Amino acid sequence: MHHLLEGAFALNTMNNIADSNDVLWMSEGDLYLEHVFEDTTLVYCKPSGDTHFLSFLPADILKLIEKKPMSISALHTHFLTEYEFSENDLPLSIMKDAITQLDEIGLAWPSAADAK
Amino acid sequence: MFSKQMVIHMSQDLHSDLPPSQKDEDSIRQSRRNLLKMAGAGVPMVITMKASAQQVLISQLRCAFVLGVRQRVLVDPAGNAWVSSRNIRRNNTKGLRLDSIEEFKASATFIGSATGMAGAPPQFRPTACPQGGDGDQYDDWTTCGYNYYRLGRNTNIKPADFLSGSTWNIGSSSRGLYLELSRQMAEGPLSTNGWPGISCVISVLTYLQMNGG
Repeated sequence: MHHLLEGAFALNTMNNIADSNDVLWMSEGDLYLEHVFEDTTLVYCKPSGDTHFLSFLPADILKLIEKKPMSISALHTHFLTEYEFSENDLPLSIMKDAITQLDEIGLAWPSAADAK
Repeated sequence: MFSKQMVIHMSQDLHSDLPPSQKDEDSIRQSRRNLLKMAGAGVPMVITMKASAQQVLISQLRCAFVLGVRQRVLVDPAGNAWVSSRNIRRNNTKGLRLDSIEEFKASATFIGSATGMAGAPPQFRPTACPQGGDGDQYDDWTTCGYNYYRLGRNTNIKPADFLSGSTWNIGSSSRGLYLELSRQMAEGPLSTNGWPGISCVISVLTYLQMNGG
């Protein structure tokens, strides 16, 4: 519930927060169950009871930020290297969109220090 | 000079020289590029299937509890109920022993009108002893005036088994009686400390309240 509340806060302010490259984003693996089908990941969110279909990018973001909070710019740098993509293939705006969409379903939220 | 056909042929040969894993990686990378292009054009990267109301209901009401110690419930004709893990001495012919009843009451949690609670529902109440008659009375024993319900240790109770939609349907079993009394404890003025199963019952009641039950 705590995380859902944080998620709700983030939802109200996400336009500002997701635009900031400095905010650290986080998640918790205990919140959901997942099953991977190639580049689509099925995620069952325990608090909401909803099931989400995630494309490969938000699914990979989730795995990363549940290990440690990361900023959008750090995520962007990480995935440019991991996927061997150019900035043209993976613009920063796509990273922001992916985080925003994870935020909307309560699976990602700004770390407590950033949410204050 | 190479002909166009030769160039195509060479290109195919070059591609076929790549190890299978490299070909797979290239294919995956290209597929991902296309997915990101779609995302850039506004196609959602997250699609949600909402849980139906029925699915939520089932998951929220799934709790069950097991009695760690036996529980006994004594009910009088007014619906007053006493709940304790002690036993009352019984005899098949003479009924319940009166002094044992008093000891049981002294050790029990009382649920009844005197504590602002409804107590046992009508189907659990005994008929009163006949006025002025003592045909059912032996010295120190009684066969009337009380119903005595016993729930053994390890009795498993699933509140959802006693719900029809959001309406309680507790029937006439000992487990139904215990659940009904637990429900009254959860909503009543007495402390619920140590009442077996109370957290499960409270969670079900909370869910029903949140959903208009």
